[in-house]
Amino acid sequence: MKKLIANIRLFWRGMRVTFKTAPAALLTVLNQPINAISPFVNIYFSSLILEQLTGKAAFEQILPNILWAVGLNSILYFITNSLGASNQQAWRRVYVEEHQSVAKAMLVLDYETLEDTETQKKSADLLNHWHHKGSPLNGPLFDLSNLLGGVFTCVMAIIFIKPLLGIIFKKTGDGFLNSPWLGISVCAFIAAGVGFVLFMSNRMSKRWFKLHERYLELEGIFHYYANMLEDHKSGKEVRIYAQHDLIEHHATDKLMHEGVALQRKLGSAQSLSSATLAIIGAILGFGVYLLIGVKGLFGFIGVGAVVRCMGSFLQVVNGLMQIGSNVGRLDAFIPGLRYFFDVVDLMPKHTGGNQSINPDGEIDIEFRDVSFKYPGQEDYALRHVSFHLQGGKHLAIVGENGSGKTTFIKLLCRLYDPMEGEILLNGVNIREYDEDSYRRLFGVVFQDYQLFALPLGENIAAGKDVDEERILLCLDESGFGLRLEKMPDGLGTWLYRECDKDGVEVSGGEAQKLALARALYKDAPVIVLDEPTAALDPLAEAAVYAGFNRFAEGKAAIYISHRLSSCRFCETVAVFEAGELVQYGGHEDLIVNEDGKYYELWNAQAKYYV
Amino acid sequence: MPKKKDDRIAMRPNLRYMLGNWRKWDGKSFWVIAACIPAQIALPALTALIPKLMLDAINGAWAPGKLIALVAVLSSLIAFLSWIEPNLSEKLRVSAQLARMNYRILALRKIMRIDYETLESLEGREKLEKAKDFCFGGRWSGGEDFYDAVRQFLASGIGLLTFAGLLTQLNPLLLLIIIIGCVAEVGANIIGNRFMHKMRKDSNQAFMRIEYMYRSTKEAEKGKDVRLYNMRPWFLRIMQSAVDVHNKVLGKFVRQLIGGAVSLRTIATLAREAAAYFFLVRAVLAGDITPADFLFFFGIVTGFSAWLMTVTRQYGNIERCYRECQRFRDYMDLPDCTQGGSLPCLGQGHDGLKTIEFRNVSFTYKGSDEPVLHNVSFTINKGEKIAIVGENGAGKTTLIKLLCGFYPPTEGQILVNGVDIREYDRESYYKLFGAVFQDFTFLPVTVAQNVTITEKGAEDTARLEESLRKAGLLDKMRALPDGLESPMVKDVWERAVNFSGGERQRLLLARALYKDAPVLILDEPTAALDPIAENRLYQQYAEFSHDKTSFFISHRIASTRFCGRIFYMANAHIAEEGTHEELLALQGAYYKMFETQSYYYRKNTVGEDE
Repeated sequence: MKKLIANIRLFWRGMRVTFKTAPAALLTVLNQPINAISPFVNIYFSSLILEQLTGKAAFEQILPNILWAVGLNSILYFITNSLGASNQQAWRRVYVEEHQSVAKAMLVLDYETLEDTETQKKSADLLNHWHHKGSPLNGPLFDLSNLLGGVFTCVMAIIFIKPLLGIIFKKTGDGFLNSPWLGISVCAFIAAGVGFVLFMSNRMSKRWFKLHERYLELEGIFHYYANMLEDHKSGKEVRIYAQHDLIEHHATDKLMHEGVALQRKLGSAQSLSSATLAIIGAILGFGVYLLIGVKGLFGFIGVGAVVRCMGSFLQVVNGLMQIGSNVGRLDAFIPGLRYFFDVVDLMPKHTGGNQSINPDGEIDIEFRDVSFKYPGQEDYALRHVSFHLQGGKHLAIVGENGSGKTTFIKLLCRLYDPMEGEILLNGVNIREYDEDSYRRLFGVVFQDYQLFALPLGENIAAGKDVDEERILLCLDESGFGLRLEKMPDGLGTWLYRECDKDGVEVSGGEAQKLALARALYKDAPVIVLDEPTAALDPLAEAAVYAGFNRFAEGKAAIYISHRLSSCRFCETVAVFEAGELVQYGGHEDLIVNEDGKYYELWNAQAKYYV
Repeated sequence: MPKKKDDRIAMRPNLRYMLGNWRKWDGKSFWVIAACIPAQIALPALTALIPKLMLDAINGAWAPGKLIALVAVLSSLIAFLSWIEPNLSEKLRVSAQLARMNYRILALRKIMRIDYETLESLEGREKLEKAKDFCFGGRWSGGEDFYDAVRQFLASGIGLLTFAGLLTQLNPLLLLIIIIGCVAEVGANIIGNRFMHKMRKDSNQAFMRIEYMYRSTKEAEKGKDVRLYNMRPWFLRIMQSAVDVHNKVLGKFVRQLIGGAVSLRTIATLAREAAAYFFLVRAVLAGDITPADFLFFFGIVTGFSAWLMTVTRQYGNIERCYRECQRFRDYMDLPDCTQGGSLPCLGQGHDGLKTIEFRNVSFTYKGSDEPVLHNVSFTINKGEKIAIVGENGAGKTTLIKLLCGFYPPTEGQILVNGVDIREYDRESYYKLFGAVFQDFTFLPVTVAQNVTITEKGAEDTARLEESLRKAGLLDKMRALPDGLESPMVKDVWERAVNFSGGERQRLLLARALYKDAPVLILDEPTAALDPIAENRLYQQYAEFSHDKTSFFISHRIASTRFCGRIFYMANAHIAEEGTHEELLALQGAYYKMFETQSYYYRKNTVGEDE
């Protein structure tokens, strides 16, 4: 019961969102009920006309009925078709709104929550639903409309059958055909039949969903391979390593065997339920036709009523089928709504304080005994790290893969909060600062920097408002200047082809230069570069270092690089090993300690260059 | 007109192709269709007939027993028909789905075997994008929908003729008016489709952008940059403007549709219905037909228009399907990489390779006029160790791609053992190479399978372990919860293991070593490695490659120390060639690059003057 109330609440909430986005979408619910009216118009008027015809009425007397029938039908036809057209656009609006709300929700999350496996799972669930079952907000409307249509049909039909109801429970003569028992038994049959259909279709559709779910799993694997292969980058390996057979086996064998078997099962499940419905329909049909026929034959109802009753009975069967096949689906849309709202309701775990920072003022950052481990991990990524970085100073961070360098940067940028210890900016815990104002301090190029399939200039400015002159300056500085001249629309050129068919692809080296230009453009007081030159050749690398030295003049700068030469132009070097800060000092001081990690790292590389 | 191009697509060969495939994959479906069509036509005919028969019985004052018999026959007929039709339809649905599955498998196979140059080219990617509609678009893809469309087309066509035959008994003018009404409806449909087409085209880009923004906000990898550069306002604006465009286009579409197509269709319906009532009533009054016949013919008129609508709609569907089919076949007809020569290249034995020669090789990408390689010539003997260095974009990776046979040279020849590589059978030629490329993908299979690229059980366990050991991964992999059987790729398997960048690179190395091919190619294998791991790789490189011919591409000049011959590439050709010492003595571009990179590693340089 509690569950039911929760579900209704969820449904209600979904409808409210739909109402705000595209109220017309809610009219979807009316679709089937309105559709259900028009057969009755024909039944009603054709029976009236039939009565008039048998009564030898003149054409002029019949004409009003014809006009009524045609007029009503045309109006209904216009309404359903217009409704259909406006529904279509309303659904698309709703679908788009769903994407937009999810994007909005994601954008306010802090990075830690965004990256959290639970968040990612929720978002994957929703995506899956979109792919296979469509929009979670629209979905219930269809089912509801079908169900209402069925109910509406039945109600209308019962109104039409009413004259029959008046006489079937009366004793009209001798024998079974004239006794009320005929009517009673037919009604009992109908009740039993309806009950059975509802019960069965509920079970059937549950079984169907279960099988379908399993089939989708198999399809998921196939889709992964299909997407992977579509990206031409995988093509070299597929050919060189002759991966065809392995891929084909894994992607398709299961689908062709288990998948096909499942489809056949699904098919026979469907067939079984339609067969059952048909048999029940036949039994009911026999009873009802007999009842109507007998009453008509014995003259208890007129020809018009006979036609109305028979036509209505056929509609009852349709209506019941419609109810039957939809009532089982009613709770199937609940998961979709839940996936949607679970994502939309995500809240940031940590938010900033309200202190703001003067970006032109003194910058002084201190790590005080900071420890951190990633959620779900057992080992610490950073342990008891303490250090001090002052404005205008340049720091190089070195260490082996996995020693905690990038984690350090993530904590510094407040993408994560430390588990123990604190990070202070100008003596104040960074949690106290307003997040946006704190992040304005950092111009960062991450190892896995990201550019977006949006205009080039906006990518550099990270926004719509671009200062073209400064962008050009930054692009020159990062070594992208020459390439820019070849861009068809200059700064307005769209990158990649996801959002614009005329977009331009850039190579890894070029992309890295763009990411550097973006950091330059930000002109932040602290510059952080995490492996900024991995994809660059030595000459381009030297040019970038030189450019940054100019740019970082008077600013705080942190370099992470596997090319230890970068340590030579930083005042201080921090050496990380297994999550700990093991050495800290100038290059000249560290290099003399032959037992130190720095000595080992430096010589592993430097020996090739002397 | 732009439509012209589409019109040239021939219908017949595509229909033959699709029907031929169906016969091959599920031939008995033709019988199912043959059985299904009569049922489909009989059901509405019977529905129209029942009231007439009942009225005839009542008017004829039949004996109750006879009535019971009639009712029994009719209801069992209805039951039979309403059972058989959905049952057979379900069988056909499964069969059509199977057909699409088969098409998808064909597409998958094709992508894996298509000529690599085509796969990578813009043209190839565009063709693939177009071909996908036929089988990757879900239930409405041409590869599935065609089979349903054909069935419905045939059924409604035959139904149309049957019903028209029945109607000819009446006034031919009625038939004419009905047909005119239906033609108007067809016209309305065409107009509606044109609006729809335009709406899709106009809203497509906005839709693409909305979906892209949604994807960009939910991916954790992108989240860091989004937050640090405070891209939220930018993203929101881009999304909002895309949504506005989208909704505007849709709003216009609905207004057009209701104003044009829907109104026209309503008028057509009105005319048709009015004519039907009018003529039928007249016919009864004139005594041509009985009042009971009025009911029957009225049902037939309604049925007739329904058939006509279905015929035209399904014809449109068939048209769409064969167009999609043509695009699919365009892709399937692209040349395969196996369409090289027929000469078998060396098998797995190492003795086979003697020389590799580039003879005046030039290469220009299609659609570009600047050559990426220009007149490159060299000869390499078995066992030589080659290092390739040079600036970004100098043509290093392209050279490797040409060597692997991914692109044919625009000019000149590549010879292996003195034979042009075009003469070799492509798949056997690929056996020459074990390569680690810069971009890579892992398959969603186990770690072991990713290294061996064979089914479980077919691998050489000793070689597998040896390769992992050489790559420095064996202990780490064994320590995983499922050892070497651990699944990879988180998107597919929830239990999958995530590896770090360095580990992934070593796994790729293990795969190349397991293949044990005569030529080993490593393209930037050290970019993600720390100095110590890099040093270890150099030390082990001699061991990996001792019996192989090898190519080592790197931005780190240290790598050249282990190679007997160095190619320094600049401006699309090999500018300098020789040993490290020779090239230094030359004091050319290589020397300059080495000096640049080693500058900071020297003891007494201070990095302030550059």
